[in-house]
Amino acid sequence: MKFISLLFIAIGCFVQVLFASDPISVMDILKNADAIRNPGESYFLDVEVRNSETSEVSAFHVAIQGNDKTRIETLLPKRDRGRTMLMLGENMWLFIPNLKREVRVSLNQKLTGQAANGDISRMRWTGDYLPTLESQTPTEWQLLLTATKKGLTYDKVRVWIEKATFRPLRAEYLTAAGKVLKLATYQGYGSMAGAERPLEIVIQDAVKPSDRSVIHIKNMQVKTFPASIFNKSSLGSTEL
Amino acid sequence: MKCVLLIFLPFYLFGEWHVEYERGDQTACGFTENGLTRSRPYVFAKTTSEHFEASARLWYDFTHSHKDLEIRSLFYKKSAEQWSLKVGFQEIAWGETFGLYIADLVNPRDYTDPFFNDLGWIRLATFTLNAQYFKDAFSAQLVVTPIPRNNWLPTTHSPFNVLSEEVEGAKVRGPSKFKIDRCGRDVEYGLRVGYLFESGVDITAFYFRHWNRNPAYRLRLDSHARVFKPVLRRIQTVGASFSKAWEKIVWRGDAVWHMREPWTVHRLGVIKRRGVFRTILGADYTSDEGRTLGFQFHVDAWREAILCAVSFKYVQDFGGKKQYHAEFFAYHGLNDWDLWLQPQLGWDFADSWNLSLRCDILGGKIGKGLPQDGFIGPYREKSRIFAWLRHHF
Repeated sequence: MKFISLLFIAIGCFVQVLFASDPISVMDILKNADAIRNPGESYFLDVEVRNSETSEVSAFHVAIQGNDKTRIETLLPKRDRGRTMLMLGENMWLFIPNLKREVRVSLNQKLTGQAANGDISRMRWTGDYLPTLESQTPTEWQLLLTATKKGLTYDKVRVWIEKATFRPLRAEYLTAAGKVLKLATYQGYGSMAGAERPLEIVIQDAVKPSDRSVIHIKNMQVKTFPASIFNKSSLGSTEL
Repeated sequence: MKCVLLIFLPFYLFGEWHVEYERGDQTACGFTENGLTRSRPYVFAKTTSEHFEASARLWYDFTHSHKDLEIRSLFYKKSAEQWSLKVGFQEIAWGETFGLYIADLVNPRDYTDPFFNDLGWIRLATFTLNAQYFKDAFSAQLVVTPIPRNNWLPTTHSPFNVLSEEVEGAKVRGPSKFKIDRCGRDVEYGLRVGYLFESGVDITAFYFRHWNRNPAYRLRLDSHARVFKPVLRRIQTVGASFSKAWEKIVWRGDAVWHMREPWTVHRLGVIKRRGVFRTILGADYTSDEGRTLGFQFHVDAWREAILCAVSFKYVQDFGGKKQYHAEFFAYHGLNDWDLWLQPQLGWDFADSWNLSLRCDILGGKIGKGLPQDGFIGPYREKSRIFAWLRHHF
């Protein structure tokens, strides 16, 4: 009897160890979460951003290639139509239609409202951030992402990912010192570009929650772009 | 012009076109005796398709009872993996610095109001072949303008005609036009190459053979009347631009060397040709809140003189909805008395409406026509307030 009890205890411990250790690495969790938000290496986005403060609607066409090439063309508001941002790694240019000229700008140039350029242009965390597992519940992982390169919009990101689906649920955007700047919620999951993806990202100010922007993804297509699209000298002569 | 429109018309019938409009009004009023110097309602229309763009602006100026239909763009465009081509009336922008655009040479300018520096208005579109080649971080651009255009310059009755004040009673003529039948013989052409280094330093170098862009005049006797006539000479310019972003600071610079540029070196219209080196080096800082603060150092040098100046720019959006835009631009000559202050306040009072108010406060002195007297001095009585209402639809 004593032997059988010990055997059950041993089996119980073995099972507990087996299921307690996660078979998936933190990097794989992040890659899977990225795959939910990014349909491929190179793709097109049709995005609408609504700002609570101004009640103004902004619309953009976005071309993303890998982690370091993004082009954002403004469609709305009408007075800004044609303004185009080009990001090549840590370099950024703004094409101003009135000047008919691209102007070199720093990376902290804002897109609209609470939405920074990085919220649309850098949808992929892998490669930009190093993840660590902070904690987990039976349904969610909580990862802390630390920037591995300069010039990113946020130095740190704390993100909650659903275990069953690898869906990013919400995030906190932090300074290097750990101060929370903004809160993001990934919601409105729907089918687009061959998978279930978050079609709405709500970004709100951490101090003033009423100050928020909603990024609504209207269309997403896997697409290859000619190299000329991502050259600053072509901003006035090419379109997405 | 009609021929060009007819050539493009068949293409207009095909493809998907996007149309946008802007209407507005510009009103300028001098602080002193000048009164109303501009009262200009206008309509602007632009239509674009995959391969074509056409835009034009129709305006009427009540102060001079003058109207004009300006073709701002009318070109065919095609791009591929590593090149792009644009042929037709277009604007081509070169340079990195702000305020004074010394490297922006390809298009002539409208200098009838020399302190209205909105490039979307003052750059004159030219019929140009514009071919660009891209290969990774390298880019090259060839521009050829077979029939150039000249600057628009103030004439006798213009509020910015200061020559008639210099020589009392003298008339001022505008520049002559280049003729179509001389197509090719007056050609302007140039090449620009650029490279974005891994360090983030972006450098471009360019060469441009063109007609002088600076206003230069010769005083002549014409039927017993003294007349200032613009001087046109073909010159060569080489130059370079650079920019580098370092966290929140962007460094930028332009330098040009105009070879044998004609200059009016005396108030009586004596012309001299000289090599002129102009450079602007500067940096601007953008805060997380979106405020931009810029500073630039200017040097203009030729054999007889070196003139230095500084300029400053501040830009900020404010208000609960960030609907107000404040800008301040200042330029001050260090060797001369030139001063130009331009405070500006903009207001987006509806989704598509914008109202901006700006002042141009000008200072300087008039001397003996020496370089040290500066360029702004003759305009020191022309300070004004400028209102601009715009509606995009």
